[in-house]
Order: sequence, then structure tokens, then C-alpha cells
Amino acid sequence: MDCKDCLSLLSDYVDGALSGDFLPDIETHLARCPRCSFELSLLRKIDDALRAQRLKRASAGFTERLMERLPAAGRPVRTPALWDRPWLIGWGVGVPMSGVLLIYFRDEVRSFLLQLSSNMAHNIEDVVASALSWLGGLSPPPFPSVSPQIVLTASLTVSAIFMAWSFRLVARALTALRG
Amino acid sequence: MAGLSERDLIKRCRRGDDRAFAQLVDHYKNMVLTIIDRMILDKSLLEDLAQEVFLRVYKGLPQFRGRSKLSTWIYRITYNVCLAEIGSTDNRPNVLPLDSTSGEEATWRLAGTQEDAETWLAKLELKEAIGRFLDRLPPQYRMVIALYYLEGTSYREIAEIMKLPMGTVKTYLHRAKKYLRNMIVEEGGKEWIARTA
Repeated sequence: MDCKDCLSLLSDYVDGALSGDFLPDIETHLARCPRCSFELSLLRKIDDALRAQRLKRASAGFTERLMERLPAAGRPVRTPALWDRPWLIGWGVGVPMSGVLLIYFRDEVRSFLLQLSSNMAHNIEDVVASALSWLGGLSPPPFPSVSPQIVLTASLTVSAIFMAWSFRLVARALTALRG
Repeated sequence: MAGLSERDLIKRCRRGDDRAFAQLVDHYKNMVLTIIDRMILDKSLLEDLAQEVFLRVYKGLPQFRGRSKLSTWIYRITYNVCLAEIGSTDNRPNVLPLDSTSGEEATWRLAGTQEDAETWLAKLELKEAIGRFLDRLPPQYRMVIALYYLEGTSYREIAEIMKLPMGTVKTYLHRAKKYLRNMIVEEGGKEWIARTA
């Protein structure tokens, strides 16, 4: 190793950041070269002076003066990230997804819901008839039939709300995990 | 921040707890002030700029996502406030070029023999004078020096604070020391010769 190589590595040597491959060479060179050895001593002196610097101290009352300025600065307003707004994620994902699913499975959903609503209508009719007969033998009014469009709209709404709340819960849980 | 984790302190500050924010200020004010002291040459601005830093921290805390350490974020704000100030005023220092004549040769030319050089070095008192030499470094180098030596910040964190590649941080540190060495040899050597003549 010559003086030029040695001087280029001195800073890393002082910082202890020199890889082991160079250590024997640089130490051998420093032991026999008074000029590089002088540079090492100078660099160490600079390093010691830099480490010996003290932190600047804030004047008394610095924090109090700052705290007095805070009201004028205004209460900080958080602009929440999308991830911090679970309701937006819930509705934004849940509604379109339920719409897509309902359109894709519309025939199955409609027949299932019609069957369900028909059973429910019969059950309600039975309950109303029983109640009226118990009250004095009155005959029940005709129960209105439910159109498929109403059933589909209602099911879309219910599933959208359900999916939105599900996604909201997942988003809230993930937000809580992130801290 | 005795007895309170950084995360709890941030949560309390975000909830609008002014006592928690005062605690945060007390913890970081000296380091923030020291960085500004290193970066800004007009020392009459130090406390005003430090207050500006903490007002920005106060306003920005709700947006702080915790992806970096709180100290890294606060020092980054400090660095930006200083750069804005340096950009707005004409307090850039005159800096010796690295290829200045005050290279290694100068030590030997000024000091004469090896014995003279060693005597000069032994009498060289840098601890008080180093600040004067530091003020002549470019601002980025002063920032690296302040973070590395005063706070013991790692290369990685300095790179994050200054938005630089880690290799550049190492280069800045190396060059800063080389600048200091050259300035010290140039000025100190002349002073020593004048004293011993």
C-alpha cells in the first residue's frame, strides 16, 4: 500500500468502518510511514474535537413561548388517508361488489328471494289471519304480491349494506393492527 | 420522554394533548437547536427557526404515519426549515475547494521537519476552534457532521433525513473531514509559524 491509498482509507479507518481485508496493509504502512501516521493523528484530533461538541441549550421558557403560539397556529387537522377511513373502504368496495355478484347470479338470487318472500308472505298472511280470527272472526285483507324488481332492489340494498359493513370491519381491524 | 413510549406520546399529541406535545418539545428542542446552530450562520435566528420547526411538527403530527422514527421525521423538518432559510438569505459560507493547495503537502511545507509537525500537532487545540471551521463547510456537510457526531445517527438514518443515498452520506462525511483538515492545516499552520517565528 502506498501513501495515496493509505490517505484515502484513513477516514474509514478512524471511524472503524474499514473492512478487515485492508486492516493489515494499512497498519503496516502506518507503522513505517511518519507522514501518514501524522495524518492519522491529525484526523483523530479532528474526530475527537467533533465528538466533544456540546448540544446547544434552548433558552429558559422556550417550550412555554412555543405553547403560547399553538392556539394561533390552529388545531392541527388530520387529513385521513383512504386506509384510515374504513367506512369509505367498506362502501366503496362492498356496494360495487354486491352489485356485480347480484347481476352475475341474478336468476338464482331472484328465484331464491321470490321463494323466500312468498314463504314469508304466506307466514305473515297466516299470522294476520290467526290474529284477526282471534279478535272476532274478521277476514284478512288480500296480501299484496311482491314484484321481482322490488325483491331484487331490496336484496341489492341488503347485501350492499352487509358487505359494506363487513369490509368496514376488516379495514378497521387492519388499521388497528397498524397502530 | 421518561415513562412514555414514543408511540403513546404521538397518540396523545394527536388527540390534542398539549402537555404531551410540551414533553415532545422538551425532549427534542436541544438537538433541533443544535442542528440549526450548525446549519445557520446568523445565530440570532436560532430560536425563531426552532420554534418554526416545532410549529410544523405540531401541524404535521396528525399526518405522521410512523413509517420512520419520530426523531428522523423531526430532524427532516429541521433540515428543510434550515434549507429554506439558507435559500432565502445570503448566508452561504465561502468554502475552500477540495483541491485547494492546502493538501497533505502543505502540512509538511508549513511545519518544516517531522519533529516540527509533531510539535505543532501536539499543541493544536481544536475543541474550541472546530465550530469556526465547521461554519465554513457547505450546509449539507454541516448537517451530516451534526447528526453523525452529536446525535450518533446512523448512516442509514442520515440518508433518510436528507433524502440521499447512503453512499453519498459516507462521501459527505469523508469530504467534510477532509475540508476541515485542510482548513485547520492552512490556518493553524500559519498561526503556529507566526507564534514560533
